[in-house]
Amino acid sequence: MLRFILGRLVGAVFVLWIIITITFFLMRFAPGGPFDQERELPPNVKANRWLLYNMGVEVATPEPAVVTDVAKLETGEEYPEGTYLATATAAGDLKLGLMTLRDVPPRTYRFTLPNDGTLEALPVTADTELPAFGRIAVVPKTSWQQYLDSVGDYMQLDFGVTFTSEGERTVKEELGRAFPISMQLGLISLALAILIGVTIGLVAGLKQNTWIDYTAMSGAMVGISVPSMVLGPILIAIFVLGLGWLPYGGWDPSPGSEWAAWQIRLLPIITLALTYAAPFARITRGGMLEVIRSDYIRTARAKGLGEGRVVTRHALKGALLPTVSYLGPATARILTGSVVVERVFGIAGLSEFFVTPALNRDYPMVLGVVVVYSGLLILLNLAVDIAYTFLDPRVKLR
Amino acid sequence: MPADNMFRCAQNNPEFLDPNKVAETAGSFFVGQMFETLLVPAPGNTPVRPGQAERWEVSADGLTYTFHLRPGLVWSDGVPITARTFRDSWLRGLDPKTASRNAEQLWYIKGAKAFNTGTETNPGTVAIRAVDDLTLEVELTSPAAFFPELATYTAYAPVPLHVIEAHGAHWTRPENIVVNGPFILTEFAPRDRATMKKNPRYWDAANVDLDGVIIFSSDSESRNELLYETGQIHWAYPLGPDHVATWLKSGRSDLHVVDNLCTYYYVMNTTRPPFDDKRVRHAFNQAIDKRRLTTSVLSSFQQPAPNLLADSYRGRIGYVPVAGDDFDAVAARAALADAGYPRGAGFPKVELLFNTFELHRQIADFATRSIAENLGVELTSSNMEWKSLLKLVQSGDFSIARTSWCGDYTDPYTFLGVFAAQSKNNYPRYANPVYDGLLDRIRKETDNAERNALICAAEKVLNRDLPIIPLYFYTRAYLLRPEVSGFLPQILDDHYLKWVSLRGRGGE
Repeated sequence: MLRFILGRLVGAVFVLWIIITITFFLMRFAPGGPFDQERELPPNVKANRWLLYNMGVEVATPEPAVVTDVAKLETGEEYPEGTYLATATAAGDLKLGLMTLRDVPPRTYRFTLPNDGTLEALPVTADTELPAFGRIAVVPKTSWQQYLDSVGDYMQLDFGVTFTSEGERTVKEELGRAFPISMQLGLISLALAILIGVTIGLVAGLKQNTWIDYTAMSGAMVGISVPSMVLGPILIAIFVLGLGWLPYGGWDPSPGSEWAAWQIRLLPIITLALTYAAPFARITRGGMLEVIRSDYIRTARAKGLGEGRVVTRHALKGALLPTVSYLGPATARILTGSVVVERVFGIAGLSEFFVTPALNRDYPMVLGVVVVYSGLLILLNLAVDIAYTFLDPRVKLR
Repeated sequence: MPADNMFRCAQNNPEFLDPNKVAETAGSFFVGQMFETLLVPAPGNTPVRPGQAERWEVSADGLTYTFHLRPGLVWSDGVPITARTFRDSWLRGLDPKTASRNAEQLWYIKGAKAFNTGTETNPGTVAIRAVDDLTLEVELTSPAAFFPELATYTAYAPVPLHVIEAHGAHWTRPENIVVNGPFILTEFAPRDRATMKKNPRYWDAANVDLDGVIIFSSDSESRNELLYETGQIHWAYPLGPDHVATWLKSGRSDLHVVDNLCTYYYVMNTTRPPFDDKRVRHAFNQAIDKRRLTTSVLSSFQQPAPNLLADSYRGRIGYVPVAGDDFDAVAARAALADAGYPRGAGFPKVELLFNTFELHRQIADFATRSIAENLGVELTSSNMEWKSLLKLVQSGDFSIARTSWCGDYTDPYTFLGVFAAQSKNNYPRYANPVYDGLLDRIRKETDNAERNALICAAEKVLNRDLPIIPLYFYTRAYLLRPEVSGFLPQILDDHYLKWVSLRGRGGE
């Protein structure tokens, strides 16, 4: 068992590396870059931003020089490595660190593009007088260079600062604040969903084709068909705006009683729980129907066991197997937040990070979210496999 | 609504709060309450008022501005604020290492652009001089009559460099932040809620009526409305257009509709057939009934746009905008026939691009229907993600596309300058030396009447050449509780809560 878990964890690291790599390059292939915005920035301002996040290369003159010639290039266009940029000449003393060489002949510098890429800035014209380290051009590093720069940090789960926060917050902080909220909402809703769903499913399975079964399954059908996008606003309309029984908004209200906090949390929990309860009910019912007709249940009954013991001792475990398989991915989904429920109720959970950073091309944040989600999926699938050994005596982990 | 003296509102989540970098609305709102600039926006679209500076003067050539700071100004931690504080703060905003998106707003200052673009590495070359502790002198590259207004923007705010040095990127957090404005951040849960309290060390603290501000994070209209209807906020903006239309009809008294400095238009690529022909551009412009657009597709609280500059300029600076051609299907057909496409015959396949958004789709549907009915030209329309659309219009690989422009400052130049041949936002690739010449003169002219005449001439050129089809002027509709006073319309939405009080009608 221990060897099995260790093996899976080693595999998980490999899988995460693949995921990070694929995500990294997929994001770079998406049209538009992280620093494009509605109102186009001046090329040099945008170039500063590539440099800020260490994703760009600046071509600069090593000493004070006068530009004598500039290539006719368009900023924003792509050029191959080695493209000629500009020529500059320096005359007079040559300063080398602390040492100054006098009476040296004029030096001529020929600047070229250090790698393939979009020319982000070329602020010089012929006759521009540049101080030492004055800018000739800026070009983003190639995706491959950026990947090599950062993959080491990524594998240690260090994603750095988010682009959208201008370096004021790290990816870890953002996820660290949002994840507990989504997790709290998710775990409570999940527990409630299992309680409701599994109970209904078991009862419906045992009383197949009775009015109980029909009522329960119609209810579940409605639950599956009415999305939280509809259920949430209906609940708000009834309980917040109509009856005025419950407050609206957020997850942690202004400092106040614990009771006030739970009043605010009630509706999102119920909305999320109901949408998940429905599939649980259907799957559990299916599992129960299959098991209750199997040979070992007939054997148990033949031995003269009471119906109650047959169900709790023998049928229940087997009936729950499909539910447990569903539980793995469902938990990963519910823990990382429901986009709809969190939006409708204005909860600062994780879900928003699945959409907004991708649209903003906030590379570090996208990677962080993808890793959290895939990590959770891997761990929970492992947990499901382990749970199987307890529920099904035929399953052995090696 | 709790009975404390706190103003409550909802804003988008500000992603960051560094005044040198803030470039979006929510961040500007936050920073605007905490960091006071030399001059400040006054309520109700009246001229700017003194803030940290008590007075200022401008040289006869319009190039040098001298600001005189109030004596005894301090940060909220007691550290004094001097002219040098302002100089160093602006230089930090320009430093390429800060990589501020907003740096361009400081480029009006001589030497600022070179330092910001890295072709000059010595900050001493930027023409901002601290003459003494209380006198700040700024030299501009060319006269800009709107510079006092620029000086109210967050890009011109001072920053506490001593705190930035101590805390780095974490200096804007509630436990570290130091401010010079009326309010200071005390709690901040990003994407959830922020609390600001009154800053007792603010120079005019005696005249700040509110005890603080609570800002809920909200990025949806329905959430704003819910927060307002459940009594959690005083001011709700933006609102769902459908609801605004209903409330306008029912005459809701806490609904306010005010001018906004944005124009919605279609840009046409003037370098590519068929829109390289002026007559085709005129035909398209005249084939769309903008009045009907605002009443039938939009919610009637927007103004149809017969030209680029909004009518609100009349009231604010006495400039009377020049209306372009009205809707006229017959004239439109004639113009198109004149261009060689009688009744649309032989018109090439053209695609109208817009960024994915329900309202843009409805407007595009209206436009394509009008064009089909009145000109017999079948346009296809297609939507795409904003960044992809931007890429296309910037590279000039489009025929006709939806964009808009919102004023950076209230002066008309902010709109007219977009269509200068060299402007990077000139998506139609419009180039007319006459127009560019007028722009040059507008920039330099200091006499108001003379300047208005030049603006008028420029707008006439634009109406004649028509690189865009203006569709409507934006307005803002917001809900405001009756007990709020001192909260007046701001054309740039730069509300300064210093002037606001909760003791109005219906309050305590």
